Amino acid sequence: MEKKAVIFDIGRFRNTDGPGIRTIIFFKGCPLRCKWCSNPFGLSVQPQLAVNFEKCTACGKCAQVCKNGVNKIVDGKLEVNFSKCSQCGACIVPCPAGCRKITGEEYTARELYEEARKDAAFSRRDNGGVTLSGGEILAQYEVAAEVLRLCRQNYINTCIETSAYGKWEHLEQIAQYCNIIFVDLKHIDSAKHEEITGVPNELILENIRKLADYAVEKNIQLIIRRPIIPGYNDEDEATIGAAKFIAELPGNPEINIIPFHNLGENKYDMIGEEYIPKDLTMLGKKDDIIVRVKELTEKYAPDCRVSVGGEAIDLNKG
Amino acid sequence: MTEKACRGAALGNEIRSGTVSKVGSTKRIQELNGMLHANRPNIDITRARAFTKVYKETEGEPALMRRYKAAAEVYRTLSDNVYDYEQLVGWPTKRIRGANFAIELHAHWLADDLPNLRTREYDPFEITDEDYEELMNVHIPYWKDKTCAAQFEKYVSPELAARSQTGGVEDINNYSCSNGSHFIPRWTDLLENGFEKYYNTAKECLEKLDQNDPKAVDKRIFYNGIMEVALAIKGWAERMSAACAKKAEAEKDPKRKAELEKMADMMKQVPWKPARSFYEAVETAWCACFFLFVEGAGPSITWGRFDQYMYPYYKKDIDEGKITPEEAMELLEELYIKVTSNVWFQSTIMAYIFGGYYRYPHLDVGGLDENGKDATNDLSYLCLRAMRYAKTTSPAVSIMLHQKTPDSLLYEACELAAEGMGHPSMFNCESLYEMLAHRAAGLEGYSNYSRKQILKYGSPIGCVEPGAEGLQYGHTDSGIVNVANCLFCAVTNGVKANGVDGGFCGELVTYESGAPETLDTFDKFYAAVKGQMEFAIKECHSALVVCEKLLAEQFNLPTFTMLLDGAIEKGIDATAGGALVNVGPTMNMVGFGTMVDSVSAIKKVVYDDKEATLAEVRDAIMANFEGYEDLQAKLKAAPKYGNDDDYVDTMAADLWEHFATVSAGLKLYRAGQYCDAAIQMVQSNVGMGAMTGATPNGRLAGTPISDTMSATQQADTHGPTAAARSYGKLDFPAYTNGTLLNMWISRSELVE
Amino acid sequence: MNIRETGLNCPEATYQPPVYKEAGMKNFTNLVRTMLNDYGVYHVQFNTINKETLVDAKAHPENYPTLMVRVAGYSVYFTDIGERVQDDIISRTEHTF
Repeated sequence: MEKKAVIFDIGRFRNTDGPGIRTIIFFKGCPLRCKWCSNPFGLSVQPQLAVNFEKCTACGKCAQVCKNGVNKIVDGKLEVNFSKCSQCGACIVPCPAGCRKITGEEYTARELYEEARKDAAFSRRDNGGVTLSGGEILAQYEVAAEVLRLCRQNYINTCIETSAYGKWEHLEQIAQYCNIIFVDLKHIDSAKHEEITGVPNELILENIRKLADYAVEKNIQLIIRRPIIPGYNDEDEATIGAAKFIAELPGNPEINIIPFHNLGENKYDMIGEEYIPKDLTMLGKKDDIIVRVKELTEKYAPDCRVSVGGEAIDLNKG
Repeated sequence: MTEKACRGAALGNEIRSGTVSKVGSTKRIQELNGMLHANRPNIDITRARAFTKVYKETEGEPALMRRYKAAAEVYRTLSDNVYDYEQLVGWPTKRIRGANFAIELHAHWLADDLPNLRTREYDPFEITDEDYEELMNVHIPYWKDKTCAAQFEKYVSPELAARSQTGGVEDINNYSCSNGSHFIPRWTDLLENGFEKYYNTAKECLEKLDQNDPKAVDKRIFYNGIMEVALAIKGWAERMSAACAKKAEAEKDPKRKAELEKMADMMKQVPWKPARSFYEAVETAWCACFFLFVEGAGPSITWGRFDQYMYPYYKKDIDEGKITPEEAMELLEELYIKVTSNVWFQSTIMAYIFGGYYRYPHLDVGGLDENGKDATNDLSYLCLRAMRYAKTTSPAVSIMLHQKTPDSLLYEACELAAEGMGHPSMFNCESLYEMLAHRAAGLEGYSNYSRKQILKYGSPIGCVEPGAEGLQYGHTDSGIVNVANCLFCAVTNGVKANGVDGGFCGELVTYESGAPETLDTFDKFYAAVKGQMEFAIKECHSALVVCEKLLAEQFNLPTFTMLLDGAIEKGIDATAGGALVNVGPTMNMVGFGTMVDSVSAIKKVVYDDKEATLAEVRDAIMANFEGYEDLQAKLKAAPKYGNDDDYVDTMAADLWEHFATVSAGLKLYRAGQYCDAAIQMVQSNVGMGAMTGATPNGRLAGTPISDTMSATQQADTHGPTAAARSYGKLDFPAYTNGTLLNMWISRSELVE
Repeated sequence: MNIRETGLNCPEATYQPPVYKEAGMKNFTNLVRTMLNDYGVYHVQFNTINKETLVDAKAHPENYPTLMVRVAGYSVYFTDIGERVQDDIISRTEHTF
């Protein structure tokens, strides 16, 4: 049987994560557990029930139809026990507020390519195209590589976003079909990396080195992203260490600093998970923390272009 | 919800009073904008007085003669106000933001509703106590049984009269009450020659007339009338010149004095004689526009290809150093402010559908020239930029976008869109040209336009209706067909819902297309939907042609006629067929998305999945889904138009085609013309929705139906590219009267 | 030379151009090009006011005297239109799950 990937969203008409108009395919499932993750739907590879509590009118319809007793109305408010849910979907259609869905749907590579191709008339100007994101695409690398191959055959511009946490052979299979690769460097210190993401970083650093070589050889644009999360990875040593590491890579990849945002917070409620960095406020591009990170990065990686925010990347090389 | 927020326009007027909207590129514009917003919409009875006077004096004279004499009398009595800061001369009314309304089309409803006018929720108007008394005691009694709408009722059955005005399936109010509208005058010719040319043409035609030709009987009246109206326009300009000179005399500030003297001088030239400068050309564009807004009762006096016919004047003045782009823009801003002052006066039932005072003036830039080359010029940019400074609701500025249009003009247009005012409209030239090629020509025919005329003069009118400068006349927003209600009737065997607005609630409002129990296959149901659409279109048409005849016989428009290419030579009034292309009443669809989603829901739930019967759906929508919430939820989950899903888009394209085909097959009162279909009727989706029961897409009774051709509100869940792909499956040129699409894009994606 | 190249000198002006997001603006123009010039859609117009602003303007009209929206084919002051039309326009901006 043809291999399928679990996808939790297909975003259309996006202005970020690549040049031009992007169609972004979000793969479900990720081996990391970054505490600030803005795409919690991408963490588990399994399809999940998601409930928008803000739109819920507590009518109780879902409680009537659920065989597992997931939904309960308590004091005029809906309570959902997500752990009991079997993802049968019986509660989706009957919900009059339309506030339920199962996030996570299976697609073959060809089906995903068809989804991307539909937007080709829009994306063909300014090198628009498809971006594979997640979750972590390496977790479902075979389908990801095949989608990218099909796109490249038809001159659709391809980008990926990856944590680089996986086998190099898998990453290479994907990378060969990419115009642009965005890779995250969340912390340069392995112990701290493990503390904030759940995994150590040796494998990631090794893969980034290999990617940098590979990108130069294959004329792929590599962009290294540094999400800056106050209290997690904004200390000077982290910035200096990361800058030094990148400065030694071949090809002088661009370093893109992403200020922390909390736009994913309400999605945690929807799947019954807890959002950890609750007290953090969004960072602006001109906030002191970001200015400091940028200055230090420029100082210790003087040959790399340093940009702040996704829209500031120089994508003309891709 | 605060009490304040519910008060509609009355509140808007209140909070804008004073200085809040003193915006513009110069102090002058800021002051003029402040003046505009310090005034509330108000009634001027000058025109009513002129009409009553002339008609009382001319009892028994030929209809056209009386009409033309009254039109001339209006020019002779127009206000001659000149305000501080102005550079453009002339106002349609005694007060700023006034409506010099057409008593002969509105008296029937004013007879009942005048007491409400100051306080109604949509579009309240101020009126002085004296004018109120005069209207009530003199003008309304004289006219109330003579309006087009009042006479219409004598031609049709009481049932048709009621159904076509309050049934909520079809509506003709906009046609019967808004004669004289949707027009692009022959601007190029007017700027080059002035009104004097039309006087001379009429004079020559009269002199050459073969007095033994039986047609001379009517033509003599026509030519004498045109000459009288033209001379009245000349007289108005002379009065304005004198008023400017008088104000100049009293002016202390030497700079302003010089400006006023220049204005006095200008009014000796235009609009009677050719414009000699960009300034004079803008003056002609302003005064001729408001002449038509006073003579006609309807919306959409359109500037059309303003950047084309104005460019020679602009270029000459720039080259000779007589004007700077900034000074030119200041004139454009003043033009925008003045035309915004021109509010639309509508009946209470129409204000409910078209509220907001807006009168649809329209100005286009870009497009091709007559040889098919890109026509963009410096003025194209300036017209768009002026709107960013003036920030007025009018005119609708729009870009005519062709493959050849430079990206930079589109950037200018999109930057204006990013301002969040809703400007500009964006049009695809090739679809416009195809629509014009088949305008009013029926299913197989071609219009009278040549390709060169289309390229040179073609542009949208009003919101979106295809038109051509000086070559086309016809009220293009005529009949409304609410296809959401047609769909409702296909399920209920022709019965309207209970408890919604309008008449016929719980009664037969269309025809019996089959009880739901008998519609046992999807094909039978689908045929019933198409049958209901066809019934409504045809019934609406049968009512509209009555009005078309009445307007042609009694409600003639001399200034429109002068500004039509060739009408004087033919000796035929605009309303009676003087144009090269005569557009008759058109058929405008509303509720398309609601209908399509409902058909899709029924196909899925009733015929494919067999989860309910059509009779159950009927019971559910009749009960406004009370007690049928499970069925409602299932219906809501069906595929929806606007998501590039062929399950529903295939039916959308077919129903789209059906509406256009039925409409285009209908002949009109004037020989050789056919009805044009459109899908654009402004905010009628709210008013029409209030008259529509619950629909099988899950929508509750009385709530808005889908607007224009857009996907149902919130139904296009797959983003703008998927919505665009759905729209891209439709045959646009089949809608020879235009299509309108609203989309939303977040400002935060566009600006920091 | 058009005004995009030469600029305008308006020292008294109340309007200052905003800072545009390049990718957002270019993609907006690309969307329009594809819809009109490639797909043959005849007409389109855009509302760009954020939903939050519209909701706030409905509740506090006194703070938004000249906020304008596109109804259909024309722009009006948001505060001039009836509540039902206001709600309809707000509902057109909602596309959230």
